[in-house]
Amino acid sequence: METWLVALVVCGVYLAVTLAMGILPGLKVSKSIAGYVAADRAMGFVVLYFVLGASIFSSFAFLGGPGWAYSRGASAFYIIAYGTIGMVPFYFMGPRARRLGQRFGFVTQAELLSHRYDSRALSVVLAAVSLVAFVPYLTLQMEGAGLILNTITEGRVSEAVGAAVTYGVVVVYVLTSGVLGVGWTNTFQGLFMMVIAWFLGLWLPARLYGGVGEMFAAIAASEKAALLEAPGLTASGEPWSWAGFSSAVLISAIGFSMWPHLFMKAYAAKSDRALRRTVVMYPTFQIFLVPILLIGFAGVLAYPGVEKTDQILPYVLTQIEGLSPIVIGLVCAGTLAASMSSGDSILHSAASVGVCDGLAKAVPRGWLDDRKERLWIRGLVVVLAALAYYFAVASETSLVELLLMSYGWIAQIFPLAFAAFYWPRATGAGALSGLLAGFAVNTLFRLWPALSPIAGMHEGIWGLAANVAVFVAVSLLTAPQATERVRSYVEA
Amino acid sequence: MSATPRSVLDRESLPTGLVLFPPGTDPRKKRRRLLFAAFYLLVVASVLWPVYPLFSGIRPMILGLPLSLAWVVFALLAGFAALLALYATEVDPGETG
Repeated sequence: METWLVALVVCGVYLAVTLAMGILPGLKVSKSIAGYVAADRAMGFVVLYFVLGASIFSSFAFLGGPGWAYSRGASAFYIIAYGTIGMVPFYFMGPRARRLGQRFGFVTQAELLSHRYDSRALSVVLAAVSLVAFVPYLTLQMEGAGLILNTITEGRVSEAVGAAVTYGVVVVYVLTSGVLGVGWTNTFQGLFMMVIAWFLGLWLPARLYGGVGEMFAAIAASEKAALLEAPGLTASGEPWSWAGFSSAVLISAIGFSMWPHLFMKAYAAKSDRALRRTVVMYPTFQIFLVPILLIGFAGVLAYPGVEKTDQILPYVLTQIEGLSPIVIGLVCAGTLAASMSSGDSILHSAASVGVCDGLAKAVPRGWLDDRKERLWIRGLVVVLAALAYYFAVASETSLVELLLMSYGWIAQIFPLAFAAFYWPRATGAGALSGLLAGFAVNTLFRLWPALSPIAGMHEGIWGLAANVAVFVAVSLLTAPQATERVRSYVEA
Repeated sequence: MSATPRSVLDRESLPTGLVLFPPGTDPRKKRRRLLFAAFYLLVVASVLWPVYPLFSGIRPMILGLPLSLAWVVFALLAGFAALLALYATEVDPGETG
């Protein structure tokens, strides 16, 4: 059999197993919003660990990570750095969110914040921002899935068909099983991509250079040595500034636990203990970025001149001698796993947020009952998947800019979440005006970077400064919120 | 505190500053968490300017990795060890925090 066909069969088997694993748990979970969105608040450590880990490791990590290491060198270490520090706040805030969710019945991030700050407007704003951030994110995952299938089959499977089949599977298990479908498939996908990453990250340098140390020594001795010096290069090949590197690490770390699809997994945890253990053990997932970056570094001297750097992983696979077609298929499936395990979580959260925080807050109270809400969420799952698919294959619009901008927006949620638990004097007016100021300033400096007082600084930093200043000032100028409500958060 | 009259008198008792620990938190737990926070800030600083530039070069290579990469991996492991240690002291599932 030809290589591409073997690889395609392996991917097909992987997709079939994923589909089965995604549909089965849906037969057990209760038919309710708490069941569909928060797994009846009963997720244990193992599944939670893989859900969080695999949701974060997207096709950006699997394709973009090696691409960055290949073309921008040490700047890719920023991905390791922000994950290292970004998850820690969740150790403290996550369990509080979980207990409040249990007490008040929250299943989304905005439900908690809009309750604490007694503001329906806040909920609608957060829902809108989440959707704007999620659609490009999902689009990129679909493009990643289409791209890998296209490259591995040497163009025989078009990107449109590849993306449609993979995300067809995702839509089916998200529809049937909700977050539990995400949970069990992510456990499988997470294990799968970890094994693939470690194998490939150690095997490629050994095959091409005789070892990891030898590979780095060879790069250090070549004219590409500058790649290995932090903070690496920018996309255009210039040295990246320390202001740019440090602020990018900070903003990504601050936003890390604020991504709605990650934050809302606190409600799925069955206990504080399960949630804390997940956060504590997260670095064991994070460390597998190291072999992923090694894949990219392996290409630097062996395969110079690859222009589409996101394709360096599949490119190396199709070029290298002596790799079994089954292994190529497994790597391809591992990349699909990375794409799907983020895509499913994003799709599920985006639809839940859109309905629970957007629609339910915009229509008269009582209009949506539990059954109707689930129906709307499922409908929105299909609509959002179709929209992202349109952007992925049919539209020429590039959403990358929107996604980059959204990292700065998401970080603006952090002061609100922090103050919800730790600053009793924070008020709804303060929270909403701070958030809007943060978004505005963030967007301003993103669109006109020349205005920035420090060249190369991530615009999110200026957004956060404006956010916190306005949040604190307006809170102190407005009447405190009802003590009972605030107390339940501060003492949660 | 503002002096405007309010319907809920109890609002006056809300503190203006941050409340990092719920009232009645065990002082040993507070101390451990503050100690962790201090160490965590060191880890944060270690991957940012101006600390990371001190370790941003290629040599010495450590376990085959350039210093710039080994340093970030070291920060990851240090943060992991610290959180693991904190967790080990807080395993009581009934605990709040």
